[in-house]
Amino acid sequence: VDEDEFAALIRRHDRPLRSLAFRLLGDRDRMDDALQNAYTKAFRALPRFRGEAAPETWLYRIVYNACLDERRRDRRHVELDERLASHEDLAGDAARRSGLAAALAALPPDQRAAVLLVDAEGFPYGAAAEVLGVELGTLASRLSRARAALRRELSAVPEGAEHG
Amino acid sequence: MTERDHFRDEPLGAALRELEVPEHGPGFESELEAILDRPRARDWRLPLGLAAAAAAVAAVATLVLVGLPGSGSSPALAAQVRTKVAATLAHATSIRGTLVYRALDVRTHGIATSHAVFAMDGRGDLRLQSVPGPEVAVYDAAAGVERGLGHSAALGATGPVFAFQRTGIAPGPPDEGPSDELFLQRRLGSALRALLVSGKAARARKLDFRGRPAWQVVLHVRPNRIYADEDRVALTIDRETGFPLRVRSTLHGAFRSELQVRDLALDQQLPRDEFVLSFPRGKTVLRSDGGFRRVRLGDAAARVGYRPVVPDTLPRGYRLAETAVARRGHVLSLSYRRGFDQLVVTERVRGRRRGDPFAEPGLAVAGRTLRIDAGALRGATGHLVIDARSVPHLLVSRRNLLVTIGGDANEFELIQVARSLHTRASSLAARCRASELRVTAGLQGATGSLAGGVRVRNAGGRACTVEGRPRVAILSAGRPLPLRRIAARPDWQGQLVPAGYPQVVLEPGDVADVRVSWSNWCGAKPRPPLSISVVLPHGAGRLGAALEAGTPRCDQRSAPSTLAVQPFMPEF
Repeated sequence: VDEDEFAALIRRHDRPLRSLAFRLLGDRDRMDDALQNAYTKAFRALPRFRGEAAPETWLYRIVYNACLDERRRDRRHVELDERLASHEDLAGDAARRSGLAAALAALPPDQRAAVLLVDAEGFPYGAAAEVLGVELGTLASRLSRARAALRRELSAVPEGAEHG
Repeated sequence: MTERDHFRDEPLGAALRELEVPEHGPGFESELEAILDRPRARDWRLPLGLAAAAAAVAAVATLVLVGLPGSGSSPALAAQVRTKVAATLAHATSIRGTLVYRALDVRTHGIATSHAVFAMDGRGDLRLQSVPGPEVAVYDAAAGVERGLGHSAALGATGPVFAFQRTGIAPGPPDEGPSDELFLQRRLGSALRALLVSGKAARARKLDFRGRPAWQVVLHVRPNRIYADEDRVALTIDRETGFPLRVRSTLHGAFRSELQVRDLALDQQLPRDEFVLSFPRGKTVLRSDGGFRRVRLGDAAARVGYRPVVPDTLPRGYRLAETAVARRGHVLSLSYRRGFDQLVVTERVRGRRRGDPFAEPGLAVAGRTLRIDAGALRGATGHLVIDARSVPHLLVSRRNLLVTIGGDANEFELIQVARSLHTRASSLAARCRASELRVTAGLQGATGSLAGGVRVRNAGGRACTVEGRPRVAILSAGRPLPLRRIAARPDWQGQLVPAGYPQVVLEPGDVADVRVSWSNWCGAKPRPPLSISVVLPHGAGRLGAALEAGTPRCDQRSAPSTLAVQPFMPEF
């Protein structure tokens, strides 16, 4: 990955990365702090990137770890999560989305990340597991628990097929 | 793992993707660029969605001046245009008209047209109403409140109309103002100001526009690096009023947007209820709070928790319009207005984010550093940005605080304001002149010394400030008694020292006291009448008043009689 490819990678994934960071951290400033750290780290690591993983997997892993670092650095996340959970929105669809956001915020961070990566962003299980640094089985169980919790809030979404 | 284990929940994924995701905060990219030390010319800006129509309109008006090639245009004429526009902005009291905005929809490649009527006054009040409606927003600048009716952004233009009220809106940049500030006040105003203060060669030509004599200035701009918005802007200015009639932007020669101002009426009396909006009975109102509270300047220090700096010097014609504080970030925002011009001085506790709070995504602006050589910020390094794609501004750090000076001012004016900053409430509340004050005095005591004080009352019509220890003398039949003056420390008598001390801000009618103690008078009984003379510090003049007092006891004939004088203090 050269610098131009890196720039393109950032351009392509900035929104979902913002989404991941915001859902993990709960406010924009911390999201930006984490992404700034992650992008900087990734940029500086470019010369050492040998393509062991897909570039986006590599980038997401750096961002995910930066978010965990940010959470460790600032223990206010419980309060922030609660604020996220009480976020008000307008009406109708927006209210439904607000409920979903609150349910998402109530999940443990690893479950949040799992469902965002796989269901929202379409990561293959293997790549998502690589991002999160866990085994496939661990990823699957986190996904299962996350989906169950979110579906309760999202009544319009039908039950999934993995439970048969 | 089986294929089933790799199931992806599409509906859930779609719902998750619909969740709102904030854009990066101001300064994110410039900070990142600074960290990475990449050349600014490299195009790796982050992708952000197109902003709302108002922001797009605003972007139209952010300009970089260059000369206009071609015949018929003239730098001299451009200078005339600048003069006319400057006068209009600095002296206008009100404006109303109709906005017609046409813009290319980059998704459909169609042209969307919208109409709105607007009104604005020199206080910064604003009304913007879509035609035929129902969307409307009014902004009360003095109160920092915006009220409106509109469609939910989430539910689209066919959804129900909701009422909203935003309170605690900041007076101005770099903090977010009212919704429409982007267009009418902040961006268009700053763009025009950029035109005026750029100092670069600009050319203009005459033409008729919709039957009105006009000037046209063509400007070449740097496109936004996130979404290319325009690279050429033609600004058409009404020769009679000096106000823009049209701003038309293109990118690589292709139409992008056009804003027309029609039915222009400058400086006409606006209805009393122009900036008032009542909600229909029973309507649910969505309320939000930007966190800013309008306060008296004298109360600001106590609210923000530090002694703020305020300017002694302002560009000609500016007057303090709003003082606001925000608890979050300990922000003090002072808004000065001059016609439609606005200059905002803010101070805040620096957060972890160290970027330029004026920075906007995709717009890299040119700045330079300088050293502040006078005032409270003397020795500090400032960062000055005079770039037509930004509000002209100057940033200066003061310990853990960040001071911003931004708005409709040129480089020289911004620097002069920075040099005049002091940790006292002057200028906005300039030093009280003797002519604004009324003084009374009294001394009493049964044993030994006579104690009492001098009380000054602000009898003027504006807030002013007293500070320090005046020179006090007691006169006997108009001649000063031979007293040895002692500079006494303020005695707070157990009360908390007020924030902002030693400045004492006097709103009209407020009083301040100078405590005085006269001891050891062994001379002859003074000839009546007794009076007191008060010479204000800093050459602000002299006051006098009759003095009802006897004389203190003679304690030591060989020692001088003393008059101990404390500094000005707020009324106890």
